[in-house]
Amino acid sequence: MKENHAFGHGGFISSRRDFLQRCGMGLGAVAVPTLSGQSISPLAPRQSQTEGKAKAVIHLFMNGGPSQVDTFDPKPELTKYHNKKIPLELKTERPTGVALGSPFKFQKHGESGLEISELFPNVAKSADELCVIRSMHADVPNHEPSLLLMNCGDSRLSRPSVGSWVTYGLGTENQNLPGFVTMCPGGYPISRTQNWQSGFLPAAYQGTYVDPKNTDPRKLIDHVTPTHLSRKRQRDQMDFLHQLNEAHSKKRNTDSDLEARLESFELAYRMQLEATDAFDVSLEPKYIRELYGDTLQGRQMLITRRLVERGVRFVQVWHGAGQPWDNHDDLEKNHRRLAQECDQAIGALLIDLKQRGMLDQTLVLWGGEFGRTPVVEMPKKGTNAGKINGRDHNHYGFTTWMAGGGVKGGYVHGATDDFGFQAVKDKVHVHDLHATMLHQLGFDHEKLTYRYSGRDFRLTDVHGEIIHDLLA
Amino acid sequence: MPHFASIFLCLIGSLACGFENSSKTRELSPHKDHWAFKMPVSDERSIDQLINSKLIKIKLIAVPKAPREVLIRRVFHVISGLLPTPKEKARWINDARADWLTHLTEDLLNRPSFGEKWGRHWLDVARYADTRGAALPDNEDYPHAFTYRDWVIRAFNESLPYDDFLHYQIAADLMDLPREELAALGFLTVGRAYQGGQNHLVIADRIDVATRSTMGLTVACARCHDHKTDPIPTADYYALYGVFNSSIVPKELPAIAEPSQKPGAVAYRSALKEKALAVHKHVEKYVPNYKTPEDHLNFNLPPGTKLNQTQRDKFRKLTGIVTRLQADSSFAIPRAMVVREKPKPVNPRIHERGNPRTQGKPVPRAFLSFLREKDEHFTEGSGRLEFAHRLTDDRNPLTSRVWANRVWMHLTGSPLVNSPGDFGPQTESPIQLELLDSLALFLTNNGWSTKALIKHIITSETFQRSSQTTSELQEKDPSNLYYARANRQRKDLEAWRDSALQVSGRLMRKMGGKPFTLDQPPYEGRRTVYAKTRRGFLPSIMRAFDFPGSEEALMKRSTTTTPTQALYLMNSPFLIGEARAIAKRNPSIKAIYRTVLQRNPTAIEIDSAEAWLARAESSRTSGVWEYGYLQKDSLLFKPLPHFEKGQWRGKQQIPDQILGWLNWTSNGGHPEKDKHATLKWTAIESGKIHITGSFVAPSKKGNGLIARIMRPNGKILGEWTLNPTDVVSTNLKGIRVEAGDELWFVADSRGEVAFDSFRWAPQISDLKGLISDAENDFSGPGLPPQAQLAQALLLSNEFFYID
Repeated sequence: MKENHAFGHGGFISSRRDFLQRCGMGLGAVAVPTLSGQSISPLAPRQSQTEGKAKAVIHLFMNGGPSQVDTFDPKPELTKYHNKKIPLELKTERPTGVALGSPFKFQKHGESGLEISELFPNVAKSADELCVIRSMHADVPNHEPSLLLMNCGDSRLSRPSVGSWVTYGLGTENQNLPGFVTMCPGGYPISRTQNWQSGFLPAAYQGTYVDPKNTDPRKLIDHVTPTHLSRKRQRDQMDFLHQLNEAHSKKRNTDSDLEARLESFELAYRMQLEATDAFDVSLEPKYIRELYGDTLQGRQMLITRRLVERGVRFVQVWHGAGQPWDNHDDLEKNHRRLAQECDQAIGALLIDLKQRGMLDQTLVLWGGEFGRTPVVEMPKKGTNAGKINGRDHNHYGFTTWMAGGGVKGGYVHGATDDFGFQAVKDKVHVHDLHATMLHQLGFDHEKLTYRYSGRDFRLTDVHGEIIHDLLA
Repeated sequence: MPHFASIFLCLIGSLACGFENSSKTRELSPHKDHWAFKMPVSDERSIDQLINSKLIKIKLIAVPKAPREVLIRRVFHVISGLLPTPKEKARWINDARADWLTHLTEDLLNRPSFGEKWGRHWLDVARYADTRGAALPDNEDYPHAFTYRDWVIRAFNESLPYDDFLHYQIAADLMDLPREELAALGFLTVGRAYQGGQNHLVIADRIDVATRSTMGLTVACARCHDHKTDPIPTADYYALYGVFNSSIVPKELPAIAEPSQKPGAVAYRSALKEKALAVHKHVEKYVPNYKTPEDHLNFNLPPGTKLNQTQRDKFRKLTGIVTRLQADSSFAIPRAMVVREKPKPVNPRIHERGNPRTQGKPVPRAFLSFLREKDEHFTEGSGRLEFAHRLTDDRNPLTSRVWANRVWMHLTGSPLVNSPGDFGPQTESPIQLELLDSLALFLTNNGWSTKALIKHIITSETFQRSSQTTSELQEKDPSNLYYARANRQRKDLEAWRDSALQVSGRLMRKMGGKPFTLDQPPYEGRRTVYAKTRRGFLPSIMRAFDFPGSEEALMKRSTTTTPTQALYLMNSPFLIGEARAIAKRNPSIKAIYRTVLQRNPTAIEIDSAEAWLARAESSRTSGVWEYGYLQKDSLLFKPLPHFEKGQWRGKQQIPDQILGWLNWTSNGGHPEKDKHATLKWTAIESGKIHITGSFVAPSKKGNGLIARIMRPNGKILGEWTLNPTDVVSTNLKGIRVEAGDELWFVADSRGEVAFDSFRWAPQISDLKGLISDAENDFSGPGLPPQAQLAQALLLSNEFFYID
């Protein structure tokens, strides 16, 4: 760190040391234990309940809902039924019609022979790392509740997001960067900031939103660069502010709100220094930039790696604003375009994490809030373009995959029926996925709790089974 | 492609409703015993007696009363959202009357700033926004939404009783009122709009806001199925659906003021006509026999009109221009966003599973079944006015409690019922039920006067307690459920921004009118309640500081603390501008403390501020950087005149006519063909220095650059010629400088300016260590030290919290 900390004026040293001890930060970002043995900074790194395989999570969110039968869940039977009625009727959000066989070819990849469609040739290069869950299911065929279920474990009520729970449980390794970063190019997904809310957990655990569409790292986070003061002088100003706030707090006994606000300035100050660096992909060598591709998705995946490398605990990466994967019309054209946008970048991320030895400790999760119907969506005024070539939402069965973080590679778990409509074998509910993720991070999902309005809450509420078959 | 049919209205609000896709009738338990469904019980005891009796029971000792100056600040904050001026503060501190607080409260309640503060509380509830929502960005404005906002503020200021306040907002058009009051109906109509009309979703939104914000009932939950936990069957939802579906927004909104006669108004009207005619001309091209209607603002296409996607998009764009003109012009006639009764009321049918295409059995228009007699149906027209009256008649146990709870929350910082938008059977009886009941009864017994209730609460001992906690209270009642102390409250966005404007002297007291843009220069000084709220596109300042998204009624804002807020406060031009203004008025330390924190600094504070300011002055001792250029072959350093976006440059938008792309940033810059980008460093002390750093010419193209370190007399200390993609170390050792000597760091384009961005941030050290660092020391025009002090005080917890 380049700046000179301006200590040593009047009675300031002791109060500042007090402050650092209380908040357990600075001083090389080592948490300073208090008498009770607990570190007090909400973001100081903490031990999980058991030694977890994964130290960080990357959640690649294909918002809108990618179609499983066109990506990771091949269904020859569906192709046979193309344009015919299938012997299975399930109600989804919109009226649907006959079977729509996948227009995409599937091929076996890697030693494992994992079947992946032509949409993801680069992801397929890491086929032996992927742990594909083909039997996911959720509760309803609507975006908002399903987004909230996937992100917060509850489709209706305002609950903390997975990233918030994880940073609550583990803190974060780098005190100069937010512990939980969420990136969505060009704006917000639907349900907006609810997707990364901290709910009843302290606000320190809510996701910090960044729009990776900005290419200038200084613009990625609003107001991250001071233009009116030099950094050195601003450091001085922050120290003066601490002195003021310390004196103010001292007269008011302990008030965690006051302390949290005091700390937010420290974090913000340090973010200014380190964030621009972390987000600056131009600092990467050329061959790495070329691996990811000079695209929006390439940039955000590369930023993701840089963040995780620097100790950010949880990075969520959305495909784009709104719900890009929600292809009620022109599924073939749109899925092809969307996959093309992200395939190289995701493929590169997996390879790059692996070659740096980071994949073992980084749990990568890919998927949407639900999948799509194997049957075609029928025209409905005001809701689709009436082209009869798209798919409706499907919460009965869909696919997500994980990689790294101690999950089984080259492995397929569970199955949908012959048409890919409904999970039938070894079903995995979103709660089960959450329980398994927490397990990999070293937490018993039933014991990572927070007491709020008189009861202990947890991410999985009263549900969730760890799926041991997924684990290496 | 985004679509919006999926927005199941079950989700409007944080509702406790499930998703069982079945409308099978099941026995609804009567919930007769649910505390909130019984009428409030009168209790003779005062607020303090009720609070204290509970404290005694759990053996807690209340803290003493807050000092008077704390109370003055607190009361100003909760009533007006502003700070007392030093003069006002002195006046109330010296007021000798025993009931000074009553007088202060009355004084504040009679100021227009009361309506601005409390109106904003209600606007959260009314999901108020100036635009229709993220779904419809091309024609997004509600050009007249502000008339509703202004009506709400006026209603609070004019002490409209709370029952009428609700009646007007739901049924002003049916009440024979002066035309200005029609603006109240914006309550129903400022909600978000849906693509493709989706009338059933619009109605669901109106039902939700009209029931949840008033009675704390999640009626909209019953749209698809009987309510899971509340005694609200689907039939009740559709009974109300009939009421709200019997009203429509008319084609032409009624004017509530005369057209402006000011110069400019005529020009506005002709521009409006021209833009409107452009819409009709567009339609004429595609619709045979289309006739431009007499009212050229009527853009309703004849039934059966079919436009293709491109034509429709153009149509929407053109109408959007008209709307935008109306929204932006101060000459537009203000209109009320009303609803009107349909000629014949609609007899509703249940939509099975919430699907408007599967019509079920008919239901009569009526109030909620568990709050009415079996055969009691609405009989007058749509029943909207009857509905409004049923909210506040003496058979409704909820409305007065729900409002009393929120009034208490706005004053004390925490509600008595922790879910202010849900009083259903899921919500447990509050600890302070007797108090809630007594406040509700106080409200109804005092003619539904919100002001009377506010005064009643503020003058209680409970309200006046100190916010200092004790270790005993911290342990036994950390959430302060028993009110043994006051809650320390943090200023919300409106309160901190308004009070920052107030202390900088820039606060404008102009009330009402068109909204202003919050996040763009010149950072207008009007109160934040008048800022434009773009639903779905809130500016970062609103997002960072917990401003509601206006998608649905919000009863209680969250209070988050994030580094994003801190970054905004540290680096936003808005707050820096306020800090400058404060320091400009009177740059003494004492004056700045008195202005921002409204108190004198202590001797220690003065000392430490003085020491700190001295450091600001002396931070120049190590040397100082200036950013400029040298004309080719000249030895005259000229500074770059403009600072924008972290860059010293020729003017706001580059290229500049004369200076072209020439610029300096914290770690490099760009030269021009015949002008060398030059960083000037001035030594303040004499001695021997070392220079380190690397010069990078990152681009693959162009002809490279020359880096040079020289003295102003032309003596070159080091020179490096770079080809594209070269990196060189520009290190020099043992350079002797006298105080006041300059060194120039020059980037020369080699006569060819394309692809000449470079990176160079030299560091200068002496024997003792680093003394100057171009990157770390980089700054814009700089904030004067006194303004830095003012900014620090504006950022402080003391400024942000109300004890």
